[in-house]
Amino acid sequence: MDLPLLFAFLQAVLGVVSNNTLSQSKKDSALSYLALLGEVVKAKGKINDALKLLTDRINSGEALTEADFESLKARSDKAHKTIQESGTIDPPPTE
Amino acid sequence: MRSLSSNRVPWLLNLLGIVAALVTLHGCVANPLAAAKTIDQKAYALYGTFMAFEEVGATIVQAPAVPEVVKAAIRKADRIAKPVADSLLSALKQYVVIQQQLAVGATTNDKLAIATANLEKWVRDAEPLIQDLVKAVGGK
Repeated sequence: MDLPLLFAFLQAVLGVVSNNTLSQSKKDSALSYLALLGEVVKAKGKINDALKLLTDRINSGEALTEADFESLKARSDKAHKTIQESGTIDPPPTE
Repeated sequence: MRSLSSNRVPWLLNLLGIVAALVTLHGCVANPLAAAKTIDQKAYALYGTFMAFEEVGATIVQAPAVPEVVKAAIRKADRIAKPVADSLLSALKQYVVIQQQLAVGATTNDKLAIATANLEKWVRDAEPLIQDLVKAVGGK
């Protein structure tokens, strides 16, 4: 995480947890920002776990099997479908 | 000095959790591509990386907090990379089968050379497209 992002993050958090000097819209922005950061952290954790599994498998020297290929393809197909279909859903109405 | 009200405590706990996770994550990312020494390992590492980022991308595009521009970039990168990545996986399967056949004398070195060249071609084609997806999802 780079320093400007960390600074903005801490600023946002301090704004939320301190007193009522921030306007409601700024508090909402800070909360959205926190929610986004939460998603980023969760995503990085998932990626790290997956990459570690792959690396361990490669380092083990174990031969690849048909089951490995099937599993990779099935998981990719499922994720691909979710990603592409997410673009066809109408966004919620804004105020 | 005012004490924290009870409704702020969960936020502080969340904050501590996020900071702890960020500290934990810093500098400890595994790299399967660096671990791969042979062309089949590289192809496996590449497709596995593609799948890992695709799965996380699938979570991100469903998260309400994530801006639409980020989601659109993930959709685009995935749409472009997917057919090439799948061809890479097919070439890898073919390579592994021929390698197994060669081990029992059921095929020739020529066939393995062709399968190797084919796999190398798909690795070259897929790598930049998979990197684009990695960037769109937020990896380096």
